[in-house]
Amino acid sequence: MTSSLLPVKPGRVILSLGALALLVLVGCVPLPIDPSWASVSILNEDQHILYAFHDRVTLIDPLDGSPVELRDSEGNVRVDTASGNPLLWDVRLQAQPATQFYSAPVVGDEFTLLFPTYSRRIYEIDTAAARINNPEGRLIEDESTTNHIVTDILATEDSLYVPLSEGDIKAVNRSDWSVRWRFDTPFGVWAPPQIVENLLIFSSLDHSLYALDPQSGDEIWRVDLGGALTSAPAFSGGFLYVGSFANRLFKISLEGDIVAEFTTRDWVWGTPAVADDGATLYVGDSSGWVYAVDISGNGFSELWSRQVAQRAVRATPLVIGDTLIIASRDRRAYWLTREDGVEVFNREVAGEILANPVLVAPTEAVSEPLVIISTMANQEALVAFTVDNGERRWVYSR
Amino acid sequence: MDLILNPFITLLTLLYSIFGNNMVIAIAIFTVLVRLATYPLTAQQLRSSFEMQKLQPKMKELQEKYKNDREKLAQEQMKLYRDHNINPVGGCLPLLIQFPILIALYQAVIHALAGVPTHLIDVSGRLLIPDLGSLLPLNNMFLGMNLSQPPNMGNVVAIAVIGLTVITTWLQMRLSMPKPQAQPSADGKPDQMASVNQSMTTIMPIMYGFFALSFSIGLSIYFIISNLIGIVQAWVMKRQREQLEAAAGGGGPSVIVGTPKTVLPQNAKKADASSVNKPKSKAKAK
Repeated sequence: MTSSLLPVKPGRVILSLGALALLVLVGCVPLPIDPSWASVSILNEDQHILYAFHDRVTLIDPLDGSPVELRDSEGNVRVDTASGNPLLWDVRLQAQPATQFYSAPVVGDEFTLLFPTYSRRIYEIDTAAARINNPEGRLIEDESTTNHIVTDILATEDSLYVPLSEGDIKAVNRSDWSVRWRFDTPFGVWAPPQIVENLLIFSSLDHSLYALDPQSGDEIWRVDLGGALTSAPAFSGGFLYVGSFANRLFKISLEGDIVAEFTTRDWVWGTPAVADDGATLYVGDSSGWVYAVDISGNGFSELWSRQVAQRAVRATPLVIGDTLIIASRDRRAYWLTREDGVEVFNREVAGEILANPVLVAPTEAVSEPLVIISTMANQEALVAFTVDNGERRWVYSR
Repeated sequence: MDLILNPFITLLTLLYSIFGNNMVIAIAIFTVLVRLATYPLTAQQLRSSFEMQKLQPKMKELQEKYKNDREKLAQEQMKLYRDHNINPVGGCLPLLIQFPILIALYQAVIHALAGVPTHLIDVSGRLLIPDLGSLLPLNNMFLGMNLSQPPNMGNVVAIAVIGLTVITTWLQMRLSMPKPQAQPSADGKPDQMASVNQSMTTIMPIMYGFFALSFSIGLSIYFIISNLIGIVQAWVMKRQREQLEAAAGGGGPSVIVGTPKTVLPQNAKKADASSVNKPKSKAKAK
């Protein structure tokens, strides 16, 4: 009698069962997704820096880069009764791997912040207590879809406008979280919506810039810009300025007409920056080139352009007086002169820079203006440089 | 890695544009091209596998002869490989060489389909034909599945994709691995190499099922199509070899080992044939 089967070895059986268990387990528990870049914003008159990355949001003191300590109503530092250590403004989401921040928090009201997560939920955080009011979050989109939230939402007095990663934008009534309208887009919306002159303006990966009626969701106009749009337009002087993957920068009227085009060398991912005078626009592209464009006339007129960085400039340039600060994926921040784009100096950091740099203005507490750079490296999650000479003032590590 | 990744992303995007902006067709064509490019490696792997299979009777004989002298056994085994011009790791090396390609392909699918901003921004600078950038983002939806994301277990098609990945991997492993001996050796222990192969045939499909669950569906599409091509390749090579051996044997005695399709040639030494643990009921002679 013959058999084509080998004798069953217990080790092999155990290994197979282990692999099978892993298979079943993974089916139930999704693996972690890649984190996006951090969102960094200035929260209040104390200029506390709200830093949201991965599954954690922390309030940072601009004076020394330390997490802000929680205080009671009388201003005393609150202490953890068990350890005796001060309680810090540091909130971590205890949920699934997909529950992480791809978008910036928005102010809910005087006492709360709203935190949208990749997992399509919005968490409400009590700012005084640094506590999540709704630990399960508010589900904003059906979980059976592949739609997620990968960019900032827009909060107005009565509505939340939520862009979705695979397509569509929806308006949610803040009073009862009901969906007021939903507008279909064939591809995702990865750029924050904004309201300009009573128009809800948003960019879509489907190559179009849209203007909707914010109340009804009716389309007012749309304009095809020939390439994917990943950033919100800048608004200045009655015109919208937005770049696309078609290697173009566009000037668009509020009636939806393309007024002017400007050719760049590579994709434009980030939102352009318009100087305070409203006459000059600065934008970077995916090859590390930076452009200064005169927008005072009807068209575009290049003032200067130069390759500043070796890798993409995704972040919006920071315009401070006569200085332009450019942050790049090549792990450097560049200080340029606004007039001709000449590099004054640059500062190296530990990780790629994708998030927009922010400015901490001088106050009674903060003696000098600081530029806050967020990097993808844990050891230099935030780095504060002086605006004037680029000295490092502090580093916040994750 | 960029040397492989950038052409892969470019090619995938180009195929997407040529074949009506359909990502599944693009991945299918892409897979065929990758399999064609790596065909010499696959063929070598299969050849090595079949040669090893042919040597199994002699190996068994050596194992029995030197069962109390492991050092001598190893020497004789190596000599046997040398005499037959076989590299014992020849079957593994092509597989190992394909790993960087597989990793690059995974990265290419992830980036080209771009489910999240960090993936899409990585595509910039990788497209060797810059105009292709205007095609982005690629349409990553297929039968209600997002090809850039792991399968949603609520979707029947997604579950079918996982099942197909496991089944086709098993089938390909089954066809490309040497068949186990019909019986264990005289000392009652199973043949070591056959045991390893049997384990591989069990573990690999589960491992690929794990990949299919964890990684993007686009990658599973690649696995399935790649496996199907591998199955056809293995089957064709096996048939060719059988025909060649039948022609060389001229209708002499043949011994069925493991499955009815594995045939030893007539000119194999009698000692070889007799040393095989022949399944008597199936042994036949003209």
